Amino acid sequence: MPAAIKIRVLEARGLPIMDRATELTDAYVEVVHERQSARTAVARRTLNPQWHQDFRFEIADDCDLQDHPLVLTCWDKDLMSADDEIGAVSLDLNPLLHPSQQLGREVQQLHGWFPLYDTLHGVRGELAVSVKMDFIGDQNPFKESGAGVTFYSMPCVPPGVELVSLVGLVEELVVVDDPEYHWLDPIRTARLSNERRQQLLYELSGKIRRQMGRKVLKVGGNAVLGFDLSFDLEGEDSAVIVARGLGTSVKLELEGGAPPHWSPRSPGSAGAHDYGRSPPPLLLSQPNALPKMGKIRSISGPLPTRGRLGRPIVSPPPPPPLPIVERFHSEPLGADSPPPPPPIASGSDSSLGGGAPPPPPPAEPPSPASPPSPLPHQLCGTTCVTPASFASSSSTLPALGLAPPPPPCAAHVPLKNVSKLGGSGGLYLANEARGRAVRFDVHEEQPIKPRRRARATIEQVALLTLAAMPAHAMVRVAGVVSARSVKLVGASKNLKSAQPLRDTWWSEIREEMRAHARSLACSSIVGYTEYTSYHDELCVLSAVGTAAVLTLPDDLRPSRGRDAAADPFDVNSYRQPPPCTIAHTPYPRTEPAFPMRIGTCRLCGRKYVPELLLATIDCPSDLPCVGEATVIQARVCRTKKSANGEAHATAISQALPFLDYDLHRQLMYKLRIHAKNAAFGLRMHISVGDTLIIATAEATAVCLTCLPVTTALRIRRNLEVLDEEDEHLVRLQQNVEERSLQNVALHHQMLSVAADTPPQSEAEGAVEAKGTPGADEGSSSDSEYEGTAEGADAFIVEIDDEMDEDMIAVLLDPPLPRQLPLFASEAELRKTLQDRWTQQHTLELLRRFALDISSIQPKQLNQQFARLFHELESTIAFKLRKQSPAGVFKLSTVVSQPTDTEVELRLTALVLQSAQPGETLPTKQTVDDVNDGVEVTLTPLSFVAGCTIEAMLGSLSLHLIKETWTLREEGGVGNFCHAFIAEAHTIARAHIRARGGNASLKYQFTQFKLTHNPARNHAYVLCSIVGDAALLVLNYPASPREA
Amino acid sequence: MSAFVAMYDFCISDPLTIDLEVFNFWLDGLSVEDAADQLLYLQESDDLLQRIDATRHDPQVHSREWQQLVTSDAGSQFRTFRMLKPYLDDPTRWADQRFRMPAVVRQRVLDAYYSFDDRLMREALGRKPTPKLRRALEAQCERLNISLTSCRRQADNLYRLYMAADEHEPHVAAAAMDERAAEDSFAELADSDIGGGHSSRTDGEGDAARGSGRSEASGAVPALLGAIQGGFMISERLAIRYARLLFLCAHQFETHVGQLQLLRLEQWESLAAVILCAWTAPGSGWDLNPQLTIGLREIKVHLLDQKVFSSMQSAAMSALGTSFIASPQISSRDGYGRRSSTPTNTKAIMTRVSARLHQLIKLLLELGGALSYAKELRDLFVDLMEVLEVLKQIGLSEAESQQLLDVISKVYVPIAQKQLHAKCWSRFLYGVRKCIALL
Repeated sequence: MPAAIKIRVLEARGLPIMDRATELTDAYVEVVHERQSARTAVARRTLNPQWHQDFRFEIADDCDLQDHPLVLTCWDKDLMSADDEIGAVSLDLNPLLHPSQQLGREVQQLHGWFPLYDTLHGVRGELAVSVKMDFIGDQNPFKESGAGVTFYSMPCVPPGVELVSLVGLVEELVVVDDPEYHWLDPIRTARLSNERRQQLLYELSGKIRRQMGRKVLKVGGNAVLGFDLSFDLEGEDSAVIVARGLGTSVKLELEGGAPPHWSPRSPGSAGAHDYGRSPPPLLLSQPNALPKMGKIRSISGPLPTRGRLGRPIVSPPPPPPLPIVERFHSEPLGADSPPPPPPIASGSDSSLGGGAPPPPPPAEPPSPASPPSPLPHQLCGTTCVTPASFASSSSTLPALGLAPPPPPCAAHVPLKNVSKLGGSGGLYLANEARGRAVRFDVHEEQPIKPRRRARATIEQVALLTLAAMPAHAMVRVAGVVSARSVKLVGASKNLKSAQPLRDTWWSEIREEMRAHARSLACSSIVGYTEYTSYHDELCVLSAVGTAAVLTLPDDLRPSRGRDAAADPFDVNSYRQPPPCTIAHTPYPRTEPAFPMRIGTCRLCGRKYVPELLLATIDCPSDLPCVGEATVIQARVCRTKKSANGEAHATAISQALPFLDYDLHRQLMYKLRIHAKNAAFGLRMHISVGDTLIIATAEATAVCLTCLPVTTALRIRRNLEVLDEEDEHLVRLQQNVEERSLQNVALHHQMLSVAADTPPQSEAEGAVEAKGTPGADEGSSSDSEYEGTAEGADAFIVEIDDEMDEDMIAVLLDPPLPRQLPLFASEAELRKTLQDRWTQQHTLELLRRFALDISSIQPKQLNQQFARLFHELESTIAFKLRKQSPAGVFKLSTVVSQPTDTEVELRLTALVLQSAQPGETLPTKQTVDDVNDGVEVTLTPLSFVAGCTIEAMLGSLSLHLIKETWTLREEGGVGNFCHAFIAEAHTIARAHIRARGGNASLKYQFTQFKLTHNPARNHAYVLCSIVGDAALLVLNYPASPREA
Repeated sequence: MSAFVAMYDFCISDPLTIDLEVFNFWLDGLSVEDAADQLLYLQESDDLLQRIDATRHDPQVHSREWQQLVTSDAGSQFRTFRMLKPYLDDPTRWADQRFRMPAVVRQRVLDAYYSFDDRLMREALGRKPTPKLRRALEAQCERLNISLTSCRRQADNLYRLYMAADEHEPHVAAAAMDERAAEDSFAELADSDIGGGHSSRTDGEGDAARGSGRSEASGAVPALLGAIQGGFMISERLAIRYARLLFLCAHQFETHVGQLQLLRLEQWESLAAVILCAWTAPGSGWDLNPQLTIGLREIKVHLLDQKVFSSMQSAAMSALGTSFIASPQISSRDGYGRRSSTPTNTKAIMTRVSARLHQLIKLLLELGGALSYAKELRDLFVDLMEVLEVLKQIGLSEAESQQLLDVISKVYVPIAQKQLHAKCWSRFLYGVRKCIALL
């Protein structure tokens, strides 16, 4: 339906001098939207021109509104030659289309000063514009577009609204030609070429959102949470840009149940005014077809699908290079528990295979108080995943001998399966061709019905990008699952084939993830993310998530939920699950999904919990834990041979499982050193270069009270001490052991104290109790873990060669000076800040290293690589030496290899300044600044402590390119980037202010590509910024003085 | 050897954070390496160095890496400063919001950037800030042990501030100002300031100048301050100092001859404060109040009349006699304590005063007349020294001198032709009295 854009070009200020003779500028503004354009009069001879001209664009197709930004370009009129461009403003019109009325406020207009940005000169002057939009006629103007859907970058429900229903994953992928490799590029000017690319990114982000929005509307949602937009600039081989959008579609409502102004069509009604593309059949039939299920507590016996899924292994995986290097030295838990196999089992375990009898139902003590338990579905097969290990496409191995569900993992399918896809040059690795044709996106869009767990099979696994679950949802975490796939991107003949190809790639990965989850008896994957790593023509697609059983109450709204609970006759009434639910295994104790010990929950004593827990989601705030949360990182760096084409892909796909295995091993060891038994908020990253493959992982480790305390790490060294370096390593190993022992003992004490003291004084109690002998009075169920602290039962690591030694050497991260409090999880940070307003600033640190290939020592590579990280942290610590920060929130450390001989680390951190005693209150001025929008806060968090979110004003999406040919004159690459980032922040602020907001939450650079060539005096940088524009109000605490 | 060789790095914080320690190194013109060395030296006792990296076994490697870290940090900070320089030079550019920092931090940074070395500023005093002055100062910096960079910055700052204040000078506005309004404002001022003068005299110390600037808030200072503080966003304290120093520079007062050479910068600031507060008017920038200068010229002509002059002289003598006798405590309280105030002494003083009074009033009239002429104005302080010299020759104590000048200012009131003249005269003498007290 048509809409009219009303644009008023007001004035400009601070324009550059474009005419050397007069030292003035004759400026005019050209307003362009898609094919329509208009221009103002020329304001002669002034650097601060005023136009005050109105324009009206009538747009017939509102898809255009979403797809194309409004571009205002300021030009200098030249009589003699072509006009010179001063700068441009790209306005995303989506906020005007996405009234955030769900939060009681909408963006009426975009009005304000926007920096005029030029890709060669940066910001040059500012332009005052105001843009309004009129919808003409029509109650329901958005038939074909996805307008009306709100996008949130934050992976949780924003405050002020309620979650009504959780629909599922919504994704979109668009492939376009990269103008950088267009045949015109060499002959057009650098400015034009940059602008074309920049414009394209804007258009892509609009298009992705529109198409995702349409999908969301179709399934009855009205918002997307955890929205992530990434661009893969595939490079010259395929010369395309792949834009990927990922999010969780949900239906939100204003708090208090007021209906949102825009009622999305329900799937049923969608047909009424459908526009040709009929919704997938599943969609129409499924949602209401399900009868409301009662409580079904357990199902025993083999699952109906078992015959289909359970197949004997066809080909054993390649044996690992060395015998297993770690094992438990402890008695088996019970007669019925299987002997603990090695964490990553090898093919030798396949002897167990085939006809394993159907496991008995889990022994659940029936108790009226127990919540309607999400039924642990019977595990039909195996699993390749340890709760604390990754089911990565390649490192997953059958533990119990049953075949993994389709598609099988890479390691199982020897590379003979490698097949080449015709034409496109894509390479399939590790993907078994299957006969079933499944439309994956159909499944994804299907709403998760509450209590669908009762179905006999887990047909559909929901992928959710949410990292924090609604408070009243019940989650049982099984473990982290991941899938990787190595592909070759070749020159595609046409775009038409490139897009389906990439769609298929991702569909396969998602299906594999689902299969992993299914094998863990999980109905959903939460905290789901996807990422890619490119190197020349090779690309590694990865997905990671947490397999979990997610039980949602019938009505997600907390208020309704309470009402239902009050109704004694409603059997299905929702009850608050105990906080330890998250740790309870979804799989039965007798048939653990992972080769590790399963014990009873130390908190409720009724359910079973694994030994270690790993998850990509945030730690729920009500989960009781002792001790301080620690950030743990694992980094693995390996050399690889440089190769091309298929050989390269083969090499990478063979190396990946070992990389993952090492990464996981390191993570586990570090957990044990800190005596933590759970890690939340796990983030992984992988980078493939010419000579190195690097994998990093970061998580927040906590010690949960419901899980057993970890056993200490013990190192058994099978090498002779030959030289000085060996001695050093031996000392290190002793340190590691000592630290591990100490921490385990400490946590035992804290736990025992925590058990005695009431929970609210837990933390204090734990501190006081330091040094008192641990008088353990735990329940009898605890006893099996007791006495394990002091060496009787230790986790043994054997060192057989220098590679092992290298791994051990990096286990002990040096402590940060002055106990710099480091956080990697928002939940922890929130707890620490306690909603007190703090000064904060973000640090963007980029460091590039030249790779000296001749001095690479593969046997010390990890140590050398770890040192880079330590130095980075030292740098931060040094920078903050005078600021006594309350906390440093480490957003991410991105490792990339921009060229064959360079490694780049980019760290984003948020520094929270601790208020000095006596000045804990924000000054009146800061309150005014924040409340009046003078100060626009850009924060990578999804909250600002001490502030209330008044309104969410749509997602922010900025794409900027800057290029220079005078790098030296600008002061080198450091200055160039600094100026660029500062400009990017300025532009972001202007856009937020124009919407009437004063903050951007979840503000981050999703893309930061820097190429520079000092010899040519040239640098090029491209960045994408996403965030959620918001209006915050600072809670000015009523201090006694004020009162 | 590590396989990873650091190429470059940069660290950007938003809002910008500035390490003032490093910033000062930069202002002093240190190189990155020198600054890093300084930092290392300062950090030596710090616990940061105690961070024994357990994964490293070679302490030398460790310290080398540590040095690299500090150097790279200093380098990145210096880069930031260089980028900030245009913003520091013209702080109004902050409005473009490119480099954001909390207002408090920005204030500190700007104050540090616009800070100056007292000795260098003393050299610059009384000279018009021009590139020539900059060269002259550069020649001095070795003697003063100030780095060239720092010297240049200070000279440039002074120059920019001068230009800004000069541009701001509301000549036109002052001329266009309604005659009557100007007179009214002047009249008001005269009253308020003389009141202030009394209070400060009873304090026994002319520290109105050193005060927070509030006491002279009604002079030309607000306009000047507005220009300096508004354009450069420096703190009020610093802006007041600059206003005073620039005043001295703008009129190119002679400050380097004879006794004047010995005065310290603070003393000069106090002198400038007195004159700014006493002899300038709002809206006149750093030019002296035209009402005052015109008035003084007319008074000079008036008093050239021998009859008027002698009547004033005699009136002064009689007033002085009563004044000295009426307030002996002034004498006894004087700081020198050379003699006690006995009637005999008073008499002796009276005779000495009567001998020199003619000369004194003449001098003062000359001085007053000179205020109108920029060239003669330059020697203001030399002339004031002469006045002081005469007072010394009379052998008056400080308090007595003050009293004498006070009397001279008062006795003119009844014989003045115009109300305005009386005000001009008392205002003029108020300034003289204060300066004499400070010299």
